[in-house]
Amino acid sequence: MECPTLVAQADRSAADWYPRSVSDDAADQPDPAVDPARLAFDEEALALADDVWRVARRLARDYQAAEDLVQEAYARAFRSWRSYESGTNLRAWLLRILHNLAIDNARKQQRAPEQLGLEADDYYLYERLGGNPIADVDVLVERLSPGPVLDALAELSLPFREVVVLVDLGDLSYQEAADVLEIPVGTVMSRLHRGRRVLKRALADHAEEGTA
Amino acid sequence: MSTQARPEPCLQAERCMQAYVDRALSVEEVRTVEEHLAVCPTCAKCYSFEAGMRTVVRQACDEPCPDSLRAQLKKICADCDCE
Repeated sequence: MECPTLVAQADRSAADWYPRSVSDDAADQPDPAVDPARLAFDEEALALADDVWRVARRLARDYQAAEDLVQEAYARAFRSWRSYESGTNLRAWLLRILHNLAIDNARKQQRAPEQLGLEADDYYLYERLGGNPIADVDVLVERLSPGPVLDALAELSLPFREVVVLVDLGDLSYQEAADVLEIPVGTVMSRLHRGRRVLKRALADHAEEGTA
Repeated sequence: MSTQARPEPCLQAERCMQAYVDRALSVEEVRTVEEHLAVCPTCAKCYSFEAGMRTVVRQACDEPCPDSLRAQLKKICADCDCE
């Protein structure tokens, strides 16, 4: 019972010591713990943790880096929650923060630029997996097990991986992904297209190795 | 190039494939694509495969946020000195 009293006294003496303007400003700020808008934001943001995590896992180099990335993104989101416009897509807003942090990290690591140059057509994997004459699509899809899919995704360089991940895992529309990445919609579509082609080629290689 | 051997309607369908699977086409465009798919089993199978690819990617990445991290996020939220 004594501790709260002591704390209150310490606060009072601190308030006396600080310049008046500082303590006045602090008193004017609504307590975030009771601000209904803040509470709603917190609840909605935390409910999206699975979505943010899934995207982060594919953007970060490993598990620990993904944890750090999500924590950093949420810390930034909570700090700047007032800049979120209520009623807009909070998932897209959070993923934009995540993207910016991932880009910063990638720059620090100075990753090599993507080597693409693949122009296999869209039926590439389908055909290589035995699609002609028409095979059972479900069987083909079954052959694409999670491990190789994750490996193939990890092999994609960040600009292409981000688009695939934001659209396929983050459930963003082309326009929302374009807003997050600050690139034109056409660039989203072309990166998505090329990113998926690279994925298909990698998966076809894997499937052939598996059956060789 | 295997694309050269395919008839024009199939090539058109291929150009729309990504946006179709991502549900980014207009109602009219969807109708055009679906009319072709209804009469072209090869393209229909390929579309199914493309859609299946998305499912495979989603399933491979379906990993919930770990409880420890979720707890950490709540702590960050509680400790945040927001602007």
